[in-house]
Amino acid sequence: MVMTPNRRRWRQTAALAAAACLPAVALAAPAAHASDDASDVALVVGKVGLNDIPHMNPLDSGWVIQGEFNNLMYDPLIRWNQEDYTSAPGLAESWEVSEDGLTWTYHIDPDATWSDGEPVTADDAKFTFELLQTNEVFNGRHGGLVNQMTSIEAPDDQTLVVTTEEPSAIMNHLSNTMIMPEHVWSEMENPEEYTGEPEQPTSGPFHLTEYTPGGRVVLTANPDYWAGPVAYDQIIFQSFETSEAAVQALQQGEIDFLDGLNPEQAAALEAADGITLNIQPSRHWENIGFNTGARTKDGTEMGDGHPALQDAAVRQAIHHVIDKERLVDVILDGNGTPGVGIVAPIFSEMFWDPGEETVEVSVDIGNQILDDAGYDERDSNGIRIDPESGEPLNFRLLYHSDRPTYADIQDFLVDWISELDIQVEPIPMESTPLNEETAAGNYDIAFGGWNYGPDPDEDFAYHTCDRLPDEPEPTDLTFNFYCNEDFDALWNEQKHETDPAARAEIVQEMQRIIYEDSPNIILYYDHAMEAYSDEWTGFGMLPSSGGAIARQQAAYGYAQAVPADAQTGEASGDDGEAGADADGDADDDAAAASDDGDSNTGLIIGLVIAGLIVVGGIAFWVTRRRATAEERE
Amino acid sequence: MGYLPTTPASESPLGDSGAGETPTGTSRPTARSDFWRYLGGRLSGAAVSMILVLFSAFFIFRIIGGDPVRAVVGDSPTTPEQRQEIRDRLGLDDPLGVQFWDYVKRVFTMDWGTSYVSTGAEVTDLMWARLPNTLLLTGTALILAAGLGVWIGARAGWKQGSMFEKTQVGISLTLWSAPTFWLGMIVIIVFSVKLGLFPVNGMRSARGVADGFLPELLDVAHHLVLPAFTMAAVIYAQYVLIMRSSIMEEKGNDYLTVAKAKGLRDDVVRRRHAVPNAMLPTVTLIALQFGAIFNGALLTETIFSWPGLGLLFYHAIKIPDIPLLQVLFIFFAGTTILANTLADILYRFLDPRVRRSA
Repeated sequence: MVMTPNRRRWRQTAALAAAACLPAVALAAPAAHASDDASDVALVVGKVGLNDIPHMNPLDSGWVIQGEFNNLMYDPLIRWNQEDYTSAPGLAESWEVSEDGLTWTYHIDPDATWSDGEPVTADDAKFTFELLQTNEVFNGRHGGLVNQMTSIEAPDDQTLVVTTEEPSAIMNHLSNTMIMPEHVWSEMENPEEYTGEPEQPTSGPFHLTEYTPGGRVVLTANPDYWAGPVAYDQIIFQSFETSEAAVQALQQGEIDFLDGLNPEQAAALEAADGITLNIQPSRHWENIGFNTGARTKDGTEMGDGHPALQDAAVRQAIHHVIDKERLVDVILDGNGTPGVGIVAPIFSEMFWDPGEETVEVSVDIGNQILDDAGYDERDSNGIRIDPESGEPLNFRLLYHSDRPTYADIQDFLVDWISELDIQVEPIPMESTPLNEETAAGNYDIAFGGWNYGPDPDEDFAYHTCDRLPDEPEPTDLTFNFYCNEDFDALWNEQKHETDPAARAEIVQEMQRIIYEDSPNIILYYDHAMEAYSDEWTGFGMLPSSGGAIARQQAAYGYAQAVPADAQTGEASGDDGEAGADADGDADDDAAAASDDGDSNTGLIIGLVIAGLIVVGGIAFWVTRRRATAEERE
Repeated sequence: MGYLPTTPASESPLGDSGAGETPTGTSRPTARSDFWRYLGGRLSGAAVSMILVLFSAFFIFRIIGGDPVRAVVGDSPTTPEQRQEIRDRLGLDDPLGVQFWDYVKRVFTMDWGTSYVSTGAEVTDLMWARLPNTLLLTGTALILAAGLGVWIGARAGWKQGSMFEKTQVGISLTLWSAPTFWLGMIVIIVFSVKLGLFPVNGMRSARGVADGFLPELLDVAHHLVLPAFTMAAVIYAQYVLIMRSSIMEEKGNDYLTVAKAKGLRDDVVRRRHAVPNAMLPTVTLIALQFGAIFNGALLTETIFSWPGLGLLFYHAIKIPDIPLLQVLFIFFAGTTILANTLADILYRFLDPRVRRSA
């Protein structure tokens, strides 16, 4: 009579055990490690924001991440020099400009080939530039470069001759524009609808193997890359929703490289074993911008900016109380440099160092400037009064509530500026409404960040009068509605200066004007914070003397990486583009080996689970027995 | 055995055939016409809901605002002309009436259009591609939650006031109250980062695994453990509570006293007699949740970067990618309505009392 319940109990326990085995089986799968898979050596890069990119069309790329892919797969005629961001040979081995500055001749490198073996010719470049001129979507991206070209000729395979309307500085670097293979792209009916297909011929170190929107991107190295193949087989970009998860994945060895760290994450990774940090100057800066009087081109006022901020004296006074060194120390933990001009210091050729003209941090100077400018009356609260409008200097400071650093900085700013007897009211806002308010001119002071360059043309255009709106409608094409005719004259001059050194001088003078006139105050250039596994080495910085690895306008960062145990690096041999499929056997062998290698982990976990099940089963049985016994009593 | 009421005449359609047409004018409607009326009521209710869903799908995502152009152009500078060109291409500046008419046509032709950002990709293709991933995660979580919930709930209800009940109800309610994103982070930190047992997120190893079905299966299963358990941990409390209360309702019934009087062990009484009768509300809950498994798990999928419908929705709403949002919303709402309707119908079959009182 005890048989039945007993047997059932055992059956139940067995069922429980079986159920618990499901996850146990999964557990037994070894955790991912670099050496696990097989002969292919892959550099795995974690990417937050990989899901943002809408497609992989190299001629319609607006996202920085798309730019990274383009640089890995295609070559432009002219690259950025890794030493100093000057122009360096790409697909063109050399180039020259005529005396009148209108005719440019580019000599294509005779060694350059597409990954399908076809040579790269001047016709490919001619085809690409003409496509950028005629295709509406592409022209939106590249019009600045190609619309000034009046003729594009390819007299022979190695020679490309381009004539421009006026002398043009950007013909010296062609804006890093990628060249497409004519023999493939001329067959496309709607090239603007190309979203990135695997195995397309490329001219760069990699070609696309896998791209699932929202998933991962796999690029396979071109073994016969004309400029020298990379030292590994694949680069894989894995999407992450948050940088926290990506940091954890790096610690787990699931990924090898990660960029976009914040100071806390960098500190945590610094303490971790097997991980190297790369904290280097970047091209990014943070600033506060003043509403210099929002208006249209013909002077119709818009928005509700405080009139006193149209006076450079007020802005300069504020500039004098902002301790940028302090911000770098406190906010960035020292990982940055105090802000000066629009051009970040890594662009050494064009960077302007104010030297003796550096704005001195001094409350006294600030107050003196305000007194001299006539702001000497104060209201009942002790706040200075604008003599023109009679309004107290009471400024709203808009900051992005989703940016913790801004919240920290605004605390300092409010205190510092208050010493000028100016009151600042910080207003946190979501990014989207904040941007709408600044675009409409409804602000006094607002935070903002920017990635500079590397060509000054586009970025400086934001300070030109031409960027004021035609109608009193919101615009995000101007920085602070700034308009200064001296600045505009210099901007036009640099645009047509084909001598890089002469152009750099003009660009430095433009930075001086902005620095002194202070329509915005650049607080600091923050360092890029990146980390990688010690299983890799050799990542190429841009510039090489100290710069970021990721988000470059070139392929140096990833392409120069080398597996630390380089002897396994040359696994996939010389079977050309079929490399991905060719080594199936090797895969299986390696998989078997890795199973052996990791069986310890699986075994241990399996034993732990089994132990838990046994203990649980016994406990279960005991409680059941007792319950039955109690009931019987 | 047990109490399961024997259903009168068991309403077999065959056995009843012709009954609906009896011209004798009996005042009590036959069971069969009853059923059809019930079914008709449910279906028309579902149809009305569906029409409301179709309408709101159009308006709801246009109210939330946001500028999809930004997602198309990316983070590089753009000219007003360029942005206008994109607005024209996407039809963003068309009058609302035109957009609505276009939408109505799409509803009737079942052509849901292409995504704003994934150039040329049919939104339905994007959806079907993610559906299996979602079903895997939510299905596993649902089975875990229901199994665990029923098991614990039945015991807790049976031993009302016991330590077991108090702890288990406490644990399940605590987990239910825990925000999913918080619990997910804790789970990741403990099991993935500290113990290194499971991958941090995603569905497959970034590095890939050896070719073959088994390695891939294990890889996915390995990735599935944390998100499935996290999701189950959050939702299983519902089953615990419902199962517990229906067991408590059954407990006082005479048939259980009879079963005990027969000398059956306490466990057997509970398992063989009480649980089957107490299962009814739980079955309904499972049926209701069946709709939810299509909806994915927005939070769980986002925390674990699980490439399912929830994550797809999350990304689409950040843009906002209106055609994609519309089709997802309609799919989510449609499957929920369908599941609810099925649950209503199922309930009628399971519980004769509904049939009699309807």
